[in-house]
Amino acid sequence: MTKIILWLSVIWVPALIGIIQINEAKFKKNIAVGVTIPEEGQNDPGVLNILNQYKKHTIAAVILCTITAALGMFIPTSYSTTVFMIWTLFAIIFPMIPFVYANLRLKDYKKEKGWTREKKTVYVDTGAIENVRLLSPWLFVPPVFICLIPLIYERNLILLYVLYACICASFWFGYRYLYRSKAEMFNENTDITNALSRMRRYNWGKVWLFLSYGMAFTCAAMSVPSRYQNIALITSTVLMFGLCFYAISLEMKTRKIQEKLTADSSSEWYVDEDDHWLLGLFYYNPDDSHLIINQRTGMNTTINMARPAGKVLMIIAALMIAGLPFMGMFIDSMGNSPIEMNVTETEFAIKSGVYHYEISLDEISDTELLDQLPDHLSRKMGTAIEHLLEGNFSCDEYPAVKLLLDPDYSPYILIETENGKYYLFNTREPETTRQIYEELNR
Amino acid sequence: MILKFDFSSSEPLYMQLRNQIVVGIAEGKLLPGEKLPTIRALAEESGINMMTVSKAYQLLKQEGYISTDRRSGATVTGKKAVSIPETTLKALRVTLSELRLSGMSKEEIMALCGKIYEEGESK
Repeated sequence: MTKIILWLSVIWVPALIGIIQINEAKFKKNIAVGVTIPEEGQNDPGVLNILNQYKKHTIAAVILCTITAALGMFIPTSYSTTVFMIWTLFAIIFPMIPFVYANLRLKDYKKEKGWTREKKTVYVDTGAIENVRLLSPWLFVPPVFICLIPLIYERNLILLYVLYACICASFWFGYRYLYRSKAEMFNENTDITNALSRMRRYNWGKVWLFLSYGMAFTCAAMSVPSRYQNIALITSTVLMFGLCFYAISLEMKTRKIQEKLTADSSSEWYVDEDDHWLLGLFYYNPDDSHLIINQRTGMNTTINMARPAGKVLMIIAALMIAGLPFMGMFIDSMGNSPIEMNVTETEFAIKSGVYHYEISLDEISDTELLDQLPDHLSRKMGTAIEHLLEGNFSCDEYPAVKLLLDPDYSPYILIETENGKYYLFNTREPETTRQIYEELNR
Repeated sequence: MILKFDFSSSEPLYMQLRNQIVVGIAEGKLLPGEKLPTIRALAEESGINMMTVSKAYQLLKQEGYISTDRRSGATVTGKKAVSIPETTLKALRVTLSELRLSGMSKEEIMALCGKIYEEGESK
């Protein structure tokens, strides 16, 4: 069931990527699939042919990614997370191939048609440089407090709520420092440049502010008592999905305005910075001292790969993406590792993979053998994969309980300590679990 | 006014900036009293170093084309340059020599100069 939920939660992502990718075929600021084409060439049959083929290839890539996800859902394997991660890697890289192919073809066609402009040139419209009014950092303060409110009535997960508060606070830094305040110059028309710049900056601020408040309410939803966990889960899921869709809709809205404002410019002079964009995706300009760069269309930002820090960040990102299958293997190995319990004269110990708990026998005040897991068990912080639950959980009966168990193998040992802490453990051999329980009661 | 920075040119970037502002003032694209972007804003926009922009502004100030103030930033003075800088005279000599060596007569050179001068005025 966990596996199916996992796959269902991502199966729609390729379609969404497809919609965003296909939008790249529409000209915004004279740019389509990362190539700048003058207005007279935008209806050229050769250009239209490349763009139409690009759309078809993207749709094919999306269909293939979706079918493989549907198949991945039903592959019977104990390495389901590895399969999932390999698919994620595939779904990240595969839809990029039609873009890169179309970009290279269109660049060649542009060269053939003689539409190439001066190389390694940067233009600045002095009339479009304005004093930027930033959103006040105080607007980001309420979400931080919303995250900390649960601390009034629940002290078991201080770290979690503080972490959420820090994430909300970090959104201001994201808003402030992950954006390069640069005029969106498209041609010599200063009014259009100013309109494009203001619209982009406005949407950029809006998305970070909404992310901050959305994250705060998700945190608040997580803190509700266990018996309302289903409502909390639905609320936080709806909030997270709502935020994602809101961010994407703002991106599409930004693109739509860029498209409208820069259509039919009838200007002979236009900005062409294609030389600085490798494959239309990666910014590489050794003459630019900035690390953070605004993407030419939409409202995203990227990094200048010619800067030393840009190279380091890109290598880290590439390693993280390439490491996804290995992460999957690691998670599967956790789920497949045996759970070993041991009772010595002084101590009870349990171990599975990297996780382990040791409890002194003197500290144990009560033990109980449960045939079923408590109702409304929900994870607060830790691991919850198909064959392993580990970390801090809560349920109706126990507001805070630490788990290290496989939910598929009943019974479970409930341990209560003198300082009021609860633990739930088992092994994958029910008989061993019973024996350990008896040893604890001896 | 649109500034163009050619990173593949052998001409230093600060000189490219200085020359474009001088041409902009002469052609009336930058009017007396008009504010220029701050050093930080221009560096942010163009991606060139703040020191490079600062060097160009210092030079323009020395030559009398702009005045700078800590509060209001750089402003076009509208005054004539205090004197013709040595570098300008040197560049003029080189340009005139090149034109002579290309076979142009004095009259042809004067006519060409007059044409370029009028182009600037008409803008």
